[in-house]
Amino acid sequence: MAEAVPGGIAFDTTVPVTQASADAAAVGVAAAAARRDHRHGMPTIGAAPGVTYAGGNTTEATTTSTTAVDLLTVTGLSILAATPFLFVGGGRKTSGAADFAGLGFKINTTVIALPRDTWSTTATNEAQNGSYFQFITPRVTNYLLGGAGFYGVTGATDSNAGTTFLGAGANMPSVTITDVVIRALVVNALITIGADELHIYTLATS
Amino acid sequence: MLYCFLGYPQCNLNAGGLQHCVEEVERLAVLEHDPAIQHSKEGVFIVHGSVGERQGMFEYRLSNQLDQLGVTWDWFPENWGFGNGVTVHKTTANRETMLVDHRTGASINDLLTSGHPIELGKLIVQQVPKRTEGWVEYERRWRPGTCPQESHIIHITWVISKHELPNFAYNRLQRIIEDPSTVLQDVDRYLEKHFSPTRRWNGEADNKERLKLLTGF
Repeated sequence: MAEAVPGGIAFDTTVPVTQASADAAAVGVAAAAARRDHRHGMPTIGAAPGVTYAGGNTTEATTTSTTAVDLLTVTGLSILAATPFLFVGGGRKTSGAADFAGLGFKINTTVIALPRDTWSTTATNEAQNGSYFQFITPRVTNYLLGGAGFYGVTGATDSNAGTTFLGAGANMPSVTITDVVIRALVVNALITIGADELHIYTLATS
Repeated sequence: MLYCFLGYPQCNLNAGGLQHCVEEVERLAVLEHDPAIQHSKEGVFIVHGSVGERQGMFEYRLSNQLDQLGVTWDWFPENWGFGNGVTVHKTTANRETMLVDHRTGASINDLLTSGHPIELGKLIVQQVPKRTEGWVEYERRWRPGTCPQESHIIHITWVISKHELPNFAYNRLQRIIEDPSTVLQDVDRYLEKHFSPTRRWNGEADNKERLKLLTGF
């Protein structure tokens, strides 16, 4: 029901709508005015499937690729060339075949470590999981292979561990690092490799 | 041919589970598994060890949902590796923030290192996103105006088949990955290892706590 006020403006009891994403603007046709303290509903931010914000559902990255694939990325970084940093993460493989699976990494768009150079399972046909740790020194002239790390992986009957160094891939770029990309492959497509919980930490230099 | 879809499979199949669905259960496609064939942003390569020989460009199709979100072919940077088979990819985009003086916009760090006395009790501080080089670079990958302006995760699932999929197979694949209401056929033919659990993402909060331990800041 409309409520007339001095000046001839009318209000009613219509509740403001909840806008939907991509709604188009419109002049409107109602003959009643809006109250100045009215409030519209808003859709939940992050409702778009496939994009997750803090508090939303996520899952691991997985692949059955038998050639190197970009599996897990942390982007939006700005790590200066003179800043040392490290990253840690987890990896796993499913059972399915008596073969290896492994992880390597890229920095920005440059392949630094081939899959299995950063983390490698054994060839035993069983589920295995583990972690890797990679330390990267400042990227300055003549010091572009300054990376070392270690990893471990365990299954019900077999395990593997090792230390890693750079050299099989390219030199690290001596520019600001914006992306760290974990690459993966499985030697047999009946195995699935998963990677998750990649975290990157920069270190203070003074 | 490469097919890209938005999100991880809504039925929680992982890459191996989706491959099992496509090749064994619903028989929608024959996937590429040749260990010598690698797809990358620059084309398809025959690989021998760490060396690849480019064979030419391949066909690809990005789903409507990806396009509507703002993810086009340009979203994938140079040298992006698609591999072969099935991949459920995950990108975490970290948006850095900083504390600024609400009135002047100067960062708290700049104020504290200016050499002038600062009456902290009178400051009104605000946390604002930083436009770092890394963020600008990432934002450029999206169609203009579509990049989310806060930290987020985006999942993209891709499938590489030997042949172009007929429409019915493409539509079914798209529903399995992108439509949460889709029910899997013959669900008893899947094993536990075919699924990935989902969990809640806490953003950067945990990272910052861990970082303090390492740097003292």
